[in-house]
Amino acid sequence: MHSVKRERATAKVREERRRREGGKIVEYKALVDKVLSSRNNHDYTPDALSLTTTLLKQNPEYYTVWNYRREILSSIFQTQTADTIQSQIDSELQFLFARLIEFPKCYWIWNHRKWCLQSSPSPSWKFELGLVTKMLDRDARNFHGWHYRRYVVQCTEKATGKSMVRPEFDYTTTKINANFSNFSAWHNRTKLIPRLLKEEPEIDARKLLENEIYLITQAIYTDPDDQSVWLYHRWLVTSDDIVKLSSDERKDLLEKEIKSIQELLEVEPDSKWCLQSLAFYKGLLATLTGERVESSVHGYLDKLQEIDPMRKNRYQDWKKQL
Amino acid sequence: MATTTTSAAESTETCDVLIYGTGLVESVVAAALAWQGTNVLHIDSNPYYGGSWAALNLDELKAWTDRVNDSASNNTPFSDAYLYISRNLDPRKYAIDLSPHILFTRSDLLNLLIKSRVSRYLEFKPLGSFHTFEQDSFEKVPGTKEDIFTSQTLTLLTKRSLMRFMKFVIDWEQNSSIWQEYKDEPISKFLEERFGLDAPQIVELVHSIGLLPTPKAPTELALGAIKRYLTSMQVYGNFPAMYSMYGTGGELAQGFCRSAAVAGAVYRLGTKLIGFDEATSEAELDSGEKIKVTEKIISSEGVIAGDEEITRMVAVVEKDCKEWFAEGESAAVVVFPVDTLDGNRYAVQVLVMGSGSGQCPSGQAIWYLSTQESGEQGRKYLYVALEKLEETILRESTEDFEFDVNEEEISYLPNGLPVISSVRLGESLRNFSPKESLKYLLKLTYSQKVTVSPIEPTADSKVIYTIAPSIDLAFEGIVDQAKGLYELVTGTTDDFFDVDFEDEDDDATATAAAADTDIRDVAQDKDDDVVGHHSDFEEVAGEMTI
Repeated sequence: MHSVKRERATAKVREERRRREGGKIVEYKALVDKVLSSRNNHDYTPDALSLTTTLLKQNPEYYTVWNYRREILSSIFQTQTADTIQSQIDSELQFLFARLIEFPKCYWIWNHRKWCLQSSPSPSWKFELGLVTKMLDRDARNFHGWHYRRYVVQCTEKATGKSMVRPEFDYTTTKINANFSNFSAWHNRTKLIPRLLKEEPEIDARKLLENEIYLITQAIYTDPDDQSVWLYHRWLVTSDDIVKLSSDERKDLLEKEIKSIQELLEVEPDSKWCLQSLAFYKGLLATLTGERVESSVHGYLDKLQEIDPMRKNRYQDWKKQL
Repeated sequence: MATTTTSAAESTETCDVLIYGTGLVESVVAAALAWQGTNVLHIDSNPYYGGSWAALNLDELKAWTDRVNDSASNNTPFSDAYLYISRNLDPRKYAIDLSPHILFTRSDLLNLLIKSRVSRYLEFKPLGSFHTFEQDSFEKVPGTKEDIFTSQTLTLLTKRSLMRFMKFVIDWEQNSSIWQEYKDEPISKFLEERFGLDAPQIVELVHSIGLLPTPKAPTELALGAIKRYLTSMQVYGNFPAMYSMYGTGGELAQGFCRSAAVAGAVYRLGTKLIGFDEATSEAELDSGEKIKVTEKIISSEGVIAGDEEITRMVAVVEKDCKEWFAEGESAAVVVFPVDTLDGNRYAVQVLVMGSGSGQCPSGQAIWYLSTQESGEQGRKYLYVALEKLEETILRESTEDFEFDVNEEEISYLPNGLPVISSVRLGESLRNFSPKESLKYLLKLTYSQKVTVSPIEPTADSKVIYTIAPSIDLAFEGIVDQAKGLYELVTGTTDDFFDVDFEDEDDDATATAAAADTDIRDVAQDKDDDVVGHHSDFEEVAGEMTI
C-alpha cells in the first residue's frame, strides 16, 4: 500500500547520526585552528575575514573571533574612503541582523553591532530603533534588546538634539500592557520617569506617582508571584527621584501601601513577595518613626522561613537585625 | 480498493466497510480506515458532502427545508424548518452552515487535522471576540492575564480571585482535592464557594468562556470547558478559536473525505442505501447495485435516539457587523446568559459570521443563534435575542448617536481615565431609537434533535450508527467518537491515523519515490472503476505528491 507506518528510530539510525556529527566536530576544530593561526600571523586580508564569517555563523559566542574580525575590518578601513567604509559596514550590519535572529541573546553580536555603528560614517539610528523594536516584539523580555535600545535612543537624542523621553515612556507602557512580567520594561521606566518629570515640568509629579502606584497595584494583585512588579513597587515607594516627599508624606505613603499589601496577604497568605515587602516596608517605617519594628514583622519572617526554606538563613539574619 | 466485475445487468462490488453519510465523524473514520488499508465505499444520499454538518447554498437550503419538513421521509436530525428568503439573492453566494461550530486551538480535532494533513485543504481564520450580554450591552470577556490587568472595571480583589481561578483551572485535573466534592454540583456553586467569585465573573466564565448552557452545568464538565478556552489563548495568537472558510463542519468533513479518497476510498454522492441483507451481507443502493460488505456498515442516517431537541435560527442581515469583530477578524461569539431574555432557562449562543468567512457577500453578515430550549419556547427566546442583536448593531453602527455629557457626571480613575456613570449611559442607550431599521435577507428557524446516547452495537452487529452533530458550539468528542467507530471495525485504535505521509530523513527518499509511484497507479485504477459524483477527487489524484 502507499502508506508507510511510522518507524521507530533504530540503533542503526542513531549510529548514522553520531557518525555525521563526529565529522562535523572534526571540521569545526580544523576551522578554529585555521582562524586562530591566521590571527597569530596578523592576517588581515578579505580571505581571513570570510574565514571568521564561516566560524562566527557556527559559533557566535566565540568572542575572540569577533575581536579578530574587528582587527581585520579596522585594518581594511584604513585604506578606504568613507563611502566604501559605509557600504562595508552596511553589509556587516546585514550579516549581524541574520545572526541576531538566530541568536538574539548573544552579548558579542549586539556588541559588534554597536562597534559597527560607532565606526560608521553615517549611522542610521532610525533603522536601528526599528530593528530593536522588531526584536522586542519577538521577545519583549530580552534585556540585550532593551540595553541596546537605550543606547540607540541616546545616540538618536545626541544626533537630533531632541529628547525621546515621552515616546520611550509610552513604549514601556505599551509593552507592560501586553505583558507586565517584564523586568526590563519596568527598569526602563525607572530611568525615564525622572527625566520625564524634568523635561515636562507641567506634569504633576504627585499625580504621576499616584498613577504609577495604581498601575503597579493592578499588576501586584493580578500576579503576586511576579518579582518584577514588586521591584518596581519598591522603587516607587522609596525613591526620591519622583517626588521629594517629606518625612511625614513618606510615612503616609508607606502606611497606605502596607495596608494595601496586607489586604492582598489576607487572600494570599503564602505569598513570598507580600511577606518580604511587608517586612521591609514596616522596617523602613520603624526607621522613619523611630519606633520599634512591629511584632508582626517577626511573624512574617518566620512564615518566610517556612515557605522559602532555601533562604532560611537570610530571614534569620534579617530577624536578628531588627 | 473496490473492485468491479463487469456484468451486463448488475455489477457486484465488494468493500470492507460501507459508510453511509459524509458527516464529520464518519468522514474522519473513512479516512482513518482507508489509510490503514481498509477498502472503503463512502456514499451519501445528498448531492453534497457534509450531511447534517454541511453548509448549503440557497437552492440546496430550499430543498433541504422541504426534505426536513416531510416527516414521512425525513431521517435527518432536523425538523420544523421555516424559511424566508428575500428575492434577488444570488444563491451561490451563500453557504449556510446547518450546525455551526468553532474549533479551539487546543483540541484533539485540530491536532488530528494537522497530523492527517487535512488542514492543508482548509483555510482557517481566527476568532477572538467573545461577548457576554450584560445590562443591555455586549461586554468583551477577559480571557488572559493582560485583559485582567488592564481592565478598568474589575476590582483588585476580583482580579486576584479570577487569576487564582485561572491558574487552578489550567491544571484542574491534577488538583482533584479542590473540586472532587463538587464534581456533580453546579459550577456556579463551586466558583462562588471555592473561589469567592462574584456573579458577573461567574456569568462570563460559564457562558462566554465555557460556552455552557447554564450555570447549573456540573463542575467536572464545566472545568474542562473553561480550561479549553483559556489554554487555547496564545497558541497561534490573541484568539482561542478558529473557523474554516465556507462553513467549518462541512469543509472539515469534505477535507477528510478528500484524504480518504487519496488513500483509496471510493466516493459516491447522490446515492441512497435502501436495504441490507444480513444473510448475504449485501447492501442495496438506489441505483439497483448490490454491494457485498465484508466487515461493517457505518450509517449516520436513520436512528436518532432521544427526545432532546434544540432550536436554531439563521438570519442573514444587510450589515457587515464589523463593530463586533476584533481587528483583522471576521467573526464573533455573543452569549445571552440565563435569565437575560425574559426568563430564559438556557443561554442563547450566537455565532456572527462576517463576509470574510466566505459564507455571504460583503456588506452582509450571518447570525447563527441556538439554544437548548425546544419548540415554541425555544423560538420565542431566539426571537428576543434577535431583537437585542438588532438593537445593538443599529446603535453601534449608526452615526447619529448623540450623547450629551456634563462635567459633573464624569469622575476620574486614579490613573486619569475619565469614567461616565454607567447608569446614565445605560439610560441614554436604552432610550435610543435608531432612525434606520435592519434589513433581513434571510430568516430560517428549525429544530435539531440531539443523540442522548447512541445505540450500543452488539459484538456481531454489522450495522453501526454514528451520532448527530452535538449542540456545543465547539467541536467536542469528534476524535473520540471516530476512534470508537474505528475500533469497532478494526478491533484497535493503535494505528488510527498512524501514517507517515512524508519522510523527513534524507535516507528515505527512495521510499518516498516508491510511494509516489503507488499513488499514480492508484489514480489510474480509480478512473476505471469509480462511478458517481466525485469530481473533486479526480483533481486530487493528479495533484497529490509525496
